[in-house]
Amino acid sequence: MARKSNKTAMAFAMQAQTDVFVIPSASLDLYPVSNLNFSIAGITVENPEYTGSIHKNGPDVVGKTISGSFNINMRPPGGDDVPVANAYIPGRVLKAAKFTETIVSAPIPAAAEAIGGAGNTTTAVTLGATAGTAVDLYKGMALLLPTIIGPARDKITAIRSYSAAKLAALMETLDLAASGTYQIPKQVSYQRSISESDAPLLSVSQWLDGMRYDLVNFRISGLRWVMPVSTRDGATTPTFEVTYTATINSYGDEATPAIPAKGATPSFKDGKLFVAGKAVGGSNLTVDFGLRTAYAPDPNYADGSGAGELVESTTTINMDRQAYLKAQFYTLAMAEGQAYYPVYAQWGYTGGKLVQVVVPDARFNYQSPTLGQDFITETGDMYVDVFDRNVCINFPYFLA
Amino acid sequence: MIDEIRVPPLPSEAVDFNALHDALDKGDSPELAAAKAVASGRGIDLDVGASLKGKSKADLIKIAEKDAVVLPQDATVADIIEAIEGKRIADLLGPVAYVAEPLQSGVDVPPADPADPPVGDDAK
Repeated sequence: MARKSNKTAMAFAMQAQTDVFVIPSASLDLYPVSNLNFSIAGITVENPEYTGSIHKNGPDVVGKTISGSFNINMRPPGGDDVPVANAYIPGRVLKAAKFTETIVSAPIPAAAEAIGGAGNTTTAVTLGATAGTAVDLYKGMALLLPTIIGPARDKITAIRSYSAAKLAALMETLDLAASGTYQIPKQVSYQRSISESDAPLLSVSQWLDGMRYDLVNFRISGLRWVMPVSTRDGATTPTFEVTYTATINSYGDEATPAIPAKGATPSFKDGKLFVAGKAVGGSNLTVDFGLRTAYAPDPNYADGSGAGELVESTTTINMDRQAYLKAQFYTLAMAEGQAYYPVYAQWGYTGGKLVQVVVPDARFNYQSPTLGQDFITETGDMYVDVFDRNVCINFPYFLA
Repeated sequence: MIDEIRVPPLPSEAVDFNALHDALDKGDSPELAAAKAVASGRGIDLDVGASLKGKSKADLIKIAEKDAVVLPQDATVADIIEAIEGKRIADLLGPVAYVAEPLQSGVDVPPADPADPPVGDDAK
């Protein structure tokens, strides 16, 4: 029988120490992936020796490199409550790409409280008595404004920045000035960290129809969040696109474990896409973290290099967006001004099954109009500079 | 005028935001609050090992030795507590400003100074 691609599975475990493989559970640590590419490439060196004839010996085979890529659906953790630390398996991949897993296991405050008395507009809300006063304490996090009239998903928004005076700037523009009550809901949030500590490694077991590879020092070498808009003409699932490098720790024949169904993945529609505080139309939003991995020379390792390390990241947003009039949304002026603007996407309907992508500050490169199809669109990059929590993905849990 | 405090960047691991929030509410420094959040995310207590509360200077020096904390010769009780907490914070958040080194052989830790008052419960 030929081996079948669909009989593929991956299990992910956080690896505490370099070179020390942590055996992922073949049941609890499994998560469905797609489009897996797994490459074993030989390292060769040409043999320059004379042979006394016109013929040359083949290159010496001196080692191998392991690399690959796969996609994970941007599926929220689900369930009725926030997952405990390290339980959301795609979050392990995000942590390995230098994200902090911030868990709010109890809402703050416990019951929604009155917002502060001043500064409340359609783009900012002053939090109330129990809110903290550390600058940017709630930056990037989901915020519940239960007083907003509408379905639950309309009551949830996100915080762009937060001041010592408790003023929370919002990632979107509300229909009416904020009023009533607020609450920081339960949530698990992955926030891009600029701490100097190294991102952790993963240990991964990967089954390819009956054969298991244990991969140690599994380093995330590339990460993109690709969020296509689902329309009446075509629906596509938002995904984390991941590339990696690793070292084979061991391998052997073992039946591929069955992966439990995780449920439907919410589509990017019937939600929000706000850029610079304006709701904009478009067909795609992509965040590319521009990771670069390097390997320090080290003769103590089989391939002469230590475990892969993240050495650089430059984050870029790309969007395929409708082109607007100057009076509506003037990207040319925004590119010339080089100010920072928030980029915010939200989709899904209920707590635990809703996604927020939060980029508090991004700069426009020039956006180029594109013609030729039914609509005039704009494409171009936005740049995300080095601020703590400069890109976040939130999975809030709320009842509204 | 409101004093501005800011939580330091957090490492790439699970952190307990409620622990962070509670610690800030109680007046902990942002660094200590962040360390408690990281510790809670790991399911450990920041005071893992020996508690610093109510310890005499001699006891604190023993804890510092055990935790491989380098102390200046003229360290006061407050200095020792700060150094031990700093080491524990650095172990959790990364070596932002503190380089942990084992005590060098032949370098004596400062003797306990009877004039240096105990802290915490011992101070009562």
